[in-house]
Order: sequence, then structure tokens, then C-alpha cells
Amino acid sequence: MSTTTHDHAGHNHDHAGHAHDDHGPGKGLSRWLFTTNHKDIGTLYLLFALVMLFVGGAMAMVIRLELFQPGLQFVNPDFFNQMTTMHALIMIFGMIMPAFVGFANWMIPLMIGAPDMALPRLNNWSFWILPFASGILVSTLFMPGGGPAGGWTLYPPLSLQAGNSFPFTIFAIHLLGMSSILGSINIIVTIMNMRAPGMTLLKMPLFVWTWLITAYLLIAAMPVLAGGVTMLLTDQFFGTSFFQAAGGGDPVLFQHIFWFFGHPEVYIIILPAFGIVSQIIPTFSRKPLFGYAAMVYATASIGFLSFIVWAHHMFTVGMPLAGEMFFMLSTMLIAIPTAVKVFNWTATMWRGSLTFETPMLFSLAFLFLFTIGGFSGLMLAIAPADFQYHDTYFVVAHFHYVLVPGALFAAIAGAYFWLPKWTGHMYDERLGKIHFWLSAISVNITFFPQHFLGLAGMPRRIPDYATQFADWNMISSIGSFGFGLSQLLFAYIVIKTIRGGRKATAEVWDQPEGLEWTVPSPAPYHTFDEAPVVK
Amino acid sequence: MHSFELRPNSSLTPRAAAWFYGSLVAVLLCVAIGCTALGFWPVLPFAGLEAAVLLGAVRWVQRRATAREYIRVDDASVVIEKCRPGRRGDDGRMAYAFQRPWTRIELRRGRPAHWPSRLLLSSRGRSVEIGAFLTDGERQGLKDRLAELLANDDLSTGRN
Ligand code: HEM
Ligand SMILES: [Cu+2]
Repeated sequence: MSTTTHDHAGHNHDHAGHAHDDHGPGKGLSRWLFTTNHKDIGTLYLLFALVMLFVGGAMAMVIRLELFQPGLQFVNPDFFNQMTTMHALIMIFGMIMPAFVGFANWMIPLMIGAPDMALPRLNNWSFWILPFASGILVSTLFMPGGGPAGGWTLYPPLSLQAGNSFPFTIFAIHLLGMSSILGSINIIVTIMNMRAPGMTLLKMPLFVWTWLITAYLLIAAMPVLAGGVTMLLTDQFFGTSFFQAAGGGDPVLFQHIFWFFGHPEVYIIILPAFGIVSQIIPTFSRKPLFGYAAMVYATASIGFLSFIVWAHHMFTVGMPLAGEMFFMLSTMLIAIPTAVKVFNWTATMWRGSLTFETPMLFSLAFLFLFTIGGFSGLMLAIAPADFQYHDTYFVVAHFHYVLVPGALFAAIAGAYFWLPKWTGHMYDERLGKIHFWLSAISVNITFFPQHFLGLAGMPRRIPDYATQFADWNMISSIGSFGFGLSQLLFAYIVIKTIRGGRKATAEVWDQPEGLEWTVPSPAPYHTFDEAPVVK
Repeated sequence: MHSFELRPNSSLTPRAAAWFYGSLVAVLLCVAIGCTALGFWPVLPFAGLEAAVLLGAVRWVQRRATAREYIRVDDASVVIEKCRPGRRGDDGRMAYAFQRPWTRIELRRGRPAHWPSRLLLSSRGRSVEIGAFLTDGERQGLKDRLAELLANDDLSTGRN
């Protein structure tokens, strides 16, 4: 060995001195612009989602303000329609999806014992596409003719009557979809490739499982959306007639295309929420999750079924009877795996030693209120009944129950659950509980009356209504203002926790399960003291 | 003489990778071909694009998993050899040799604190980073072991 004892670098010796210097984070803004660290990117996603919650929320406030009383008081009908359309697009693509991707970025590497996401640089791009695309989407409001106003479902021919904003809306949707796709490719490859030795698939925490299946759904469904909106664009500008009756096309086919994407999309939103709740309920019941394997299989079957139910959104377009029957029955089938989940969460709590910290409270509210949304879904799935409910406030009530006290509450629960891990500080439990009760009460005041309005026949997406709907609308609006204000408290709690607070321990909670809790809080300069042991 | 081989963790064997990619693309193809058959051919290019990106991602992580770092410590020298998965035009190998008595090891904690730590071997003003693909815990373990070896004057008595 004596021949090599003088200091020299073999080939490429020029790189030797500085090769390692490009790894460190930049300073200030450039750190955030160029970061490839999964925790930084997770934080970016989560904070972005929080901001968009208020952007979309402000639009909801405009909607409820106008609907406070019959008649037109504050905005003109066209602007009202822009608000309903933009509210939905922003909340779905700009708020709830990014929030769950943020959770995935932060937690999945910790949960599976990986040093980072599989594709760190791609991760940076998938995030930064998002503010850019959302900026384009919001900017359409200021274009001549205003933003898109034909509903988030973009049905032609109505959606083609938009002003200058139309191509920008489509472009923004393409970019938002691209961001989701790149994000989920990263997540799925991370889960497949980066698991620590011993972390077999059936040992993965449920949050990881739900994201694995979500990523499959996204990858399968997204090209259909991309193709669908592209066809809208070519119909409008390049003379094709995929959906134009005049040229031999059929606008109803767009609905098939849209919902073939759209229904999996709603499960893409709810599955990670299921995952979060499945982490939280066992922790605060001090029991392992009841029926882990059943939960995994239930998630997978929900994933599969979500591809064969899409036409329950279009029972009224005039399908053949066999089609109505098929989509009615397949939709009802989804209730089975969903019920398995609800049963297992309940059984997890059975005889557990329960405590009710804020994350648990939000998870319990999720359990009860999501189930209400599931039941109204079953009512809507009854094809002959849906002729009555379709395009009424009953549908609005249904999907808000599954999305707000469903998906959003799960995200909020997850935020409280992991904030101590992320920041190293405990949040203010008293404020957290106040936030919970304000939210849980006001969300019901907002959305429960919408069931009555829908059953009484009030159509959705209208700025004015007949006087018999006045009372419940006023109550709903009051509830929504309360809900909106309560979320300001949430933002305050989050900011306060980031800036300081009681130091959190590594475990944070009382003997939680999972690798992420073996890491000191804030997740620190060494992630595992030794190669993690997977039980 | 003591030698170490460092390799990134990869839970996806080439077989599993093929299976995983195949199953995803099969679903994707069913959807895309179905749409095309109904006349909605614009779905097809998007599906193709996605399959291509996914293929790129899988192959990239598979190739990255072949990275290796060898560290040999003997009485007189510390030799580090890094094999990065081949860039075009070079075999991706880099070798460094330091004199052992002049070699120091340093574990720099991440800055900000939740960034990964970095493990550096340095001698006479030049340093080489090792184990960048390990988890922080693994790097810590490696550092402890190497520090022990570097401090020990007579390697034959070192724990092996
Ligand atoms: C037991 C499970 C569920 C069933 C049986 C079900 C059934 C239905 C049906 C039949 C409709 C169409 C109603 C109509 O337009 O006339 C509908 C609409 C909707 N559902 Fe569900 N659903 C379920 C769960 C969910 C979940 C988990 C989500 C999202 C997290 C969700 C989100 C939506 C949305 C957003 C709409 C309305 C879309 C629109 O027209 O703008 N649903 N649901
Ligand atoms: Cu649906």
C-alpha cells in the first residue's frame, strides 16, 4: 500500500476539493426556491395549502354573503358563478391535494426509514409548478370577461362560452395536474424503493398504504383529465368536434370523460384522509389499529371500485336502464369497504383508554360527519331518487360533508398531530380545543341545512332563490361565516406553534407507534440512532 | 487493513421494479386504449408521456442504487473509492488516497437542523464527502467506527 500513501486524487481530482459544497441549503429565499429536502418541501406544500384555504375560503364567503338573503345584493350573477367555479377548483387542486402531498413529503420518508424522497429534484419542481399554476388560475378573474364561470366540472358547451380566460384556465389545470402527477410519481417510487430493510409492504403504516393506492389512482386518472380538457381546447380553437353536436360530437361524452377522472379524484382526496385518521385513532386509544390487513384491502377495493362508478354523477343524462342499474349497484358496493373502515376505527376505540386531545377530537368528528356524507351519498346513489336530488343543494350538502368535516378535518387533525414533530413545539391545547368546537359546530350549521334546501328543491349554482328557501340559507350563511372565522384561529395557532411554545419530546404523545416517533423533535440532525428496527 | 463498502438502500429489486412498472402501465394502457377506442385519442399521448416519466423515474432510482463507495484504512493510508452510476463518457469512478496520520473525520450536522448531516474525510486541506446516500443514523455509526480506526495507532489491535 505504500505506493498510494501520498495525497492524491485519482481521476477527476479537480472535483475533489469542492464536490461536496453544493449540498448545503442556500440562504433566505433561495433556500426555499432550490430546496430538495423532503421536510422543506413538505413545509412549502402545507403552508401553500393553508394560504389557499383562505383564498378559496374568501370566495366561499362571497357566495354565502350573496345567498344570505334572496335577491341580488352584492355581486352580479356572472361573478357569482365565477366564485362557485373558482372556489371548487382552488379548494380541490390548490388546497386539499397539496395539503396531502405535503403530509406525504414530510411523513412518508420518516415512516419508512428513508433518508429522503426518491427523486428530490423532481420534488422541488412539482411543488413550484403549483404556485405558478394557481397564480394563472386566480389571474383569470382579472381578465376581460372574468374567470371561468361554467362550474368546476367544465361541461361544454357552457364552459366554452367563457371569455379570454378559457385557454388560461385549461393551461392552469394542465399544470396543476402535472404537479399532482409528478408528486405522486415521486411518492410511489419512494414507497417502492426507499423502505428501510425489514419494512415490508404489510408493515407499512396505513398512511403510507393509503398514499400508495392514491398514487395509483392519480396516475391512472390524470391523463384522462388532461386529454379531456385538451379536447375542450381543440374544440374551441382548432375546429375539432369531440363534444360539439354541430360537428357530430356529443357534449354528454365530456361528462363521461370528466367523471371517469372526477370520481377517482374524490377518492384521491379522501384516501390520504383515511390514512391520517388511521394513525391518530390508535394513538389516542392506546391500542393498535383494529384489523390492519382488512383496512389495507378495504382501501384497495375502494380504489378499484372508484373506477367503475363514475356515471352516478350523470344519472339524469338519459342512460339506458342497464347503465343506470350498473352504476347504481357498483356505487352502493363502495359502501361495503367504507363501512369496514368505519367499523374498524370504532373497534379500535372499543375498550381503549381514550383521551381527547385536539387531533383525536378532529378525528372523531371526521368519523361521525364523514359517515353522514357517506349516507347522503348512498341516497344519491339510488338512481330513481337522484332524479329528484341531482343538481340541488342536497348534492352540495353531500360533498361538503365528505370534503370539509371529512378530508379537511383529517388534514387539520394531522396538522395538530404532527406539528410538534415538525416544529419541536407543542401547540396550545386550549386554543386547539376551542378551534375544534367552533369548527365542529359551525360546519354543521353551515351544511346540515343545505340538505333541507336540496330536498325542498333549491338548485345549486344560483345567486338568487325563491323566498321559501330564505330561512335555511340565512342560517347556513351564518354558520359559514363562523366557520371561516374559526379557521383564522387555526392559522394563528399554527403560526404561534412555529414561533415557539413548550418543547415537545421525541414521542410527543403517549407511546405512539411508528418510526417517525423514534426521531427527536424537531426531526433533527440524526434521524435514527441505529438502523431502525421494524417490528 | 479494514475496508468498508457503502451502498444506498434500495428496496426495489429489478424484478419487483419490472412488476411494479408493468402493473401501473397495464392499468394506464387499459384506460388510454379504451378512451382512444371511443374516439378520445388525445388521452393517449398524455398516458404515454406519463408512462415515459415513470419509466425514467424507476430507471433513475435503479441506477442510483448501483452507486458504491469503498473505504480502505490500513497502517499508512486511507483510500476512498467512489463509483457513481456511469455518466456518459466516464466510468464514474473517483479515487482518493490520504495519509492516515493526517486524515481527520468530521460529521457536520445539518444546517438547518433538519437537513441531513454530512460526513467528511479530510487531509491537508482537501476533503471528500462519504455516505451522502445513507440515513443520518447510519452516517453517525460509520463516523464512530472510522474515528476509532483513525485514532488507533496499531490497526492490528483495532476491533475488527
Ligand atoms: C359512500 C360513498 C359515496 C357515495 C355512495 C357517493 C355518491 C355520490 C353521488 C351519487 C353523487 C352524484 C350526485 C348528483 O350529482 O346527483 C355524488 C356527488 C359528489 N360526491 Fe359523493 N359519494 C360518496 C363519497 C364521496 C366522497 C368520499 C367524496 C369526496 C371526498 C365525494 C365527493 C363528491 C362530490 C365532490 C360530488 C359532487 C360533484 C359535483 O357534481 O360537483 N363523495 N356522490
Ligand atoms: Cu362520485
